[in-house]
Amino acid sequence: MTDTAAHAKPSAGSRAKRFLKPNVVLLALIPLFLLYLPRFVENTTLLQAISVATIFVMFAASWDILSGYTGQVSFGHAAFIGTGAYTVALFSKYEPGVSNELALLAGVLVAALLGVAIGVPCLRLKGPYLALATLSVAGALVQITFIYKEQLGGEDGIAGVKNVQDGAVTGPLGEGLSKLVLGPLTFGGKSPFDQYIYVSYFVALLAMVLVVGGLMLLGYGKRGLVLRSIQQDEAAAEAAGVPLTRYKLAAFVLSAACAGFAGGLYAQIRGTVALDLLSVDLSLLIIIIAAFGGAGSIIGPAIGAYAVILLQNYYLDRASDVFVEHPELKIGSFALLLIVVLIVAPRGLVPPLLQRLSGRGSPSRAAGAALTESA
Amino acid sequence: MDVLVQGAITSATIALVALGFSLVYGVGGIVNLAHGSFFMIGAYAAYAASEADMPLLVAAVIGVAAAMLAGVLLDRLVIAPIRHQEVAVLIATLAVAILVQSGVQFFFGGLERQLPGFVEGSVSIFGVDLRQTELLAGLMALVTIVVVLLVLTRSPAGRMVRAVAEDEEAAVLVGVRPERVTLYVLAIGAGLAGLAGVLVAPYGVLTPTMWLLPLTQAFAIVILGGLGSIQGTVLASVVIGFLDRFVAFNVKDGGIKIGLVTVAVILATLVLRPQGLLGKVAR
Amino acid sequence: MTALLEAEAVTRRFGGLTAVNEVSFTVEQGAAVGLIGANGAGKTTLFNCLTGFDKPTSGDVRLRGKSLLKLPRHKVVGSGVARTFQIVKPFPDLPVLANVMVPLIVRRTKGDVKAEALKVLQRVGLAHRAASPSSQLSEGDLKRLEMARALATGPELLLLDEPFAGLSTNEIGVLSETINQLKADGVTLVIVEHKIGSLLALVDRVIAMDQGRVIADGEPEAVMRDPAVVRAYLGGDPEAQEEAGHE
Repeated sequence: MTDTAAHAKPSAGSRAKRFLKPNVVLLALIPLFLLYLPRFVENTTLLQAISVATIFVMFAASWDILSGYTGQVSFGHAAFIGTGAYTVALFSKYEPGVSNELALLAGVLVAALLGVAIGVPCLRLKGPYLALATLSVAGALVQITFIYKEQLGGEDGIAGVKNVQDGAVTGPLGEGLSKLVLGPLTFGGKSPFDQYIYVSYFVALLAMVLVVGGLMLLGYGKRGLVLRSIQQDEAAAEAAGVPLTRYKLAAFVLSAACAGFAGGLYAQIRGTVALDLLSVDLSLLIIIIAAFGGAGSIIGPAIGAYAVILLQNYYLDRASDVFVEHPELKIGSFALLLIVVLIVAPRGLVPPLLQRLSGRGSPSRAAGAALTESA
Repeated sequence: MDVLVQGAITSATIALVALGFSLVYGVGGIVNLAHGSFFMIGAYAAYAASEADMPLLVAAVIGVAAAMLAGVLLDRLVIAPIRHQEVAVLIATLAVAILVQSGVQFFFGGLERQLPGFVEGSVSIFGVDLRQTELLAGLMALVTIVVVLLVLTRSPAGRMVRAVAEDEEAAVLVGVRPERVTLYVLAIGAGLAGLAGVLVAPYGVLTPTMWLLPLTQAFAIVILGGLGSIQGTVLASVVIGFLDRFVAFNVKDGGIKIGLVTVAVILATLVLRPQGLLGKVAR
Repeated sequence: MTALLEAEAVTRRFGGLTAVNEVSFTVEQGAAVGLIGANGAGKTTLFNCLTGFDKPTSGDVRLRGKSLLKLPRHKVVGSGVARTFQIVKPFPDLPVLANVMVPLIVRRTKGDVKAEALKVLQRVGLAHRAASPSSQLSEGDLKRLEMARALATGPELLLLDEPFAGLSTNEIGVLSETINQLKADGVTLVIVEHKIGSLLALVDRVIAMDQGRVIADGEPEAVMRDPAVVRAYLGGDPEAQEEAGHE
């Protein structure tokens, strides 16, 4: 059963390089840059788009720890995101007394539980089976929102989710960071709507640094090495003494929990949840991000998320009115681009950049290969 | 009774979709996540042709032809270059499914559409009132399946297909080119799914996301019936078809719960009997 | 005193075919045992049953008296039985050093895992390639890497599955030295090998199998002279005969 991992023998090149730790100092510059960005960018619409992209960074990184690292490629990551988001929304709707943070924690737990529920039957599955199973579970969740339409809102979703500014922790944190970066007067001078954009921007950023930083510590550490060994060859990993079940399931649950956290936070930032958070489109979008960024590197998908989501939510709308009138063309174009990239250069685009970030210049095979060559 | 008659019809149309899905997997080792899209393309192409005032029969032919063309294009342009990279094929075909979805959304909008019935009026069978077009769909699907099965078991071409499905290396030794066979099977499988889409279009509902349920059901059928097993596929189609209608008629709000039940079947099968009802061992 | 490894009436059937039939033997601590037999004799199936990669239909496999059959594969490894693969299975995208670090990490090795891994690489003579991606190694080095990864699990018993397959005479010579060194270090070895000549130089006991059964077990020379072995194995395989003739 494990022989399906018939990996194409990498002919040359030092793919091993991508397992080097990226340069920590250079990496730390990214959140610093994002932290001070609002000082120089007046355009709050753009900042809002960056906040959304920051959330997507967590989506993509949490997908990567499961799919890029252990090779259990999930085609239904939206299931975990949506579960976290809807759990948070349900608390706002039925138990508004519960604090934002507690609701978020509940979202994480429910998503993690779903991770166990999907992960256990999927443990023995590979490639196509796993793909179809994860895809169809996410599809089934969409149907659940119609079955419990009264509670979950069907195609209308749930509006009026308590937002980050109401959070006992997130509110002051976001405002504090806003004032730190923008200065008290500047922040106070903004309209309430703009203030909200700043608060959510900083909260998303902080959450992202914690989640992605944590995942990177794990991914580039010893445990990450074990996860990678599973992706490389399951039989060999077992012969090396790796408890396969435990690691694979742990990756599923961790991935689900992080996605649920990001999904819940996204709900609090948007103030609404809707079907787009459970859709196949979202699951594919995450794969697109990872494929462009290079799977199995955490940082690759993270950078990919900024590129793709800013295009989607900001630049494309300004490039042509077609995208405003027909938003479906955005995901359509990305899908088309993905197909072309997979055929022409099935490796992902960011990892060469990553090599430079890690301070060793030699070009190397990109991590996207892990995505395409693993079974 | 409703369940029996309509279940039979649904089984037949679902089997049309699942046969192609299963054969393409058996022959080319390719899991085509865009297989449900052929179903949608068939339905929408027929709808577009009928909107352009073409006769319904012509529209139906156009629907099937469009699906087959899509199958050929998918194989040549997308699958062929990355055939041996399993996960890349999965990702690329899912991307195609979303591409088709957004194309349909762009050209037809998100509203529900319906094709006029091929035949008007209704009939009564075993005391069940049916629209005639529904009955026609069932009969057409049934006839097509029988023809396909006969071709697969009796004709040289069909035997070749099964040879590749069962043992690719041996088939290569006797001069069969698996890539060719995959192309033909994919085209025919797409045509079959397209036909199912055309047949269902007068009483089903056309939306840009209609591809997902048939894909899920085809997956459930392949899981239940076992990989590449033709008998298994047909048998499992009957199971899923009847389950589909049973849920639709006997469960409150059944129509929207079909997918959920299908997924439950999938997960239960994976846990309890990963080799399927009568299939080879699942990987 | 109990032997290190005991196989008791191990039988493995696949449908109607009995690949391993009532095989019993013991391996003492510090021994080096060769397992030979023609293709299809059941060596690999037996090998898989001993290492937890396959479950016998009946019979028992014990390490220091404790049955291994109920244990999941990683626990079999954890209890001290390590294996290599006939067709090498490196983690191709990981550097050589990282390949060897994986078992050390899951064993919760204290201290510097990298240094430990380097020590293991030194034992098999691969330390100079520590930073290379394993996909760039030669076949001979890949066999060493397999051995290093198995050694890193801290085995009492190391089972090598055709370590010489696909290697040149030169490479076999170098690898034999490495294996001899492991033997001198006190590692108990079970080696499945077709190249009998090279094998006999390493082991102090040979078990010969034919059609799923043990047909001879004892001193290498005695086993090789055994009429049953000559008939069943050497008679049907000119290449192996030639190999043995060299010795």
